[in-house]
Amino acid sequence: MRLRHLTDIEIQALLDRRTVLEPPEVPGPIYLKDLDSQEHLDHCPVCKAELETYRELYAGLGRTEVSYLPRNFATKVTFSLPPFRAQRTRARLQLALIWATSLLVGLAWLLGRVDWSVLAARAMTSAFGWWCQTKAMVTVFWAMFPRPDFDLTRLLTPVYGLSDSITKVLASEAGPAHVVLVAGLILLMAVWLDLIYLGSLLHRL
Amino acid sequence: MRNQVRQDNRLLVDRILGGDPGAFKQLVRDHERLVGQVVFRMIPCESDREDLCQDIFVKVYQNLVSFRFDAKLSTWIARIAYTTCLNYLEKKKLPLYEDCSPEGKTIDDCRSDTADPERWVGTRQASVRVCEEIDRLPVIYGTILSLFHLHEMTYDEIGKILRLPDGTVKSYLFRARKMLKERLEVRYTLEELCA
Repeated sequence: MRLRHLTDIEIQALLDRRTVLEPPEVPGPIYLKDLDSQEHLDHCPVCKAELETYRELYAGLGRTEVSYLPRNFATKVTFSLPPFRAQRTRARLQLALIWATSLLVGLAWLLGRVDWSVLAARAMTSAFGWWCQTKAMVTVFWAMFPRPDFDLTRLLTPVYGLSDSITKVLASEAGPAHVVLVAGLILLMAVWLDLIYLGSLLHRL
Repeated sequence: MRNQVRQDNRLLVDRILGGDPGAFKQLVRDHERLVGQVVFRMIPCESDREDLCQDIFVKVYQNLVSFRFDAKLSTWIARIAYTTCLNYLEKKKLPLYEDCSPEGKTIDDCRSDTADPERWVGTRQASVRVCEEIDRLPVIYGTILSLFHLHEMTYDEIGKILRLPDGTVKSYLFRARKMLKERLEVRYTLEELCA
């Protein structure tokens, strides 16, 4: 039998194992140190009194409800929310759309079944549209996955700057190389947006 | 049992994301006690508590799409509640780790405060006394005590909510209970406490 008194930590650990972490109805492992402590407790009135005080404290702690939210709280919260929408479906659809666009552009380029002159002309005229779409896409993403602790402007400034320069280049001169550039940029954009999305998920978890 | 709860939560989240307002109401009902406990323990200003609880559930709703069931839904919601309260405390420059007992008073000094018999009338219940003492502990200790004893969370779950290692949670918990016990012993006798 141990001769020294049980410490506060030992008494608490003993009660935690017996009452909270492994309630009596759940058969848990028998700890050797518990047996040792129990033997001491059987013979030591000082430690027994300490254990009793802690037992009372635990009982008191189990009854310390302090939250008094009104009965209609759930209704109140539900009314304060923006209109319900099928969030997950919308998110998945938009992600799928981005990936499908990237894939299609990549495939078209690889297969070489593209009339370069037509594409070059279209690229020139749609460059401005693409720039607008990029902004819109990012805005949509931001609305979907808002992160109050994240500075969006810091991320967007270089992207907007880059898209502006590309538009200028395409407006002055167009050719197959520029089409490839646009396709590559769309692909990069998609990957970049997915990385932000992934990053936000990881950050939250 | 745990798998059943997890499965139920998954169905509930799917219904919410599918646009069912009733399902979200159910989620609020299921977790308002937990969120309320965290907020009421951490926020001293009574008038702000309900608004903060509401903000927390709005955040839950807005971020539910990113919840991937890597943790328990209750742990995730409690984490949002804790972070929101933490931001509030930072904004108001209120302490998280400091002792909230009356300034400049030691435990022995506190005895004279409670010696007034009138103050005891109507509060002769151990839980009320324990509750009063928890309010005087550092905010983080009160929160850990609530999560462990009222919501039966494990060290790991509490650690995930507070972003603290398990060992730190355990150490804070033991320290909080010891502090609480000592203060209660100084203020009341065991008989009074059990009355």
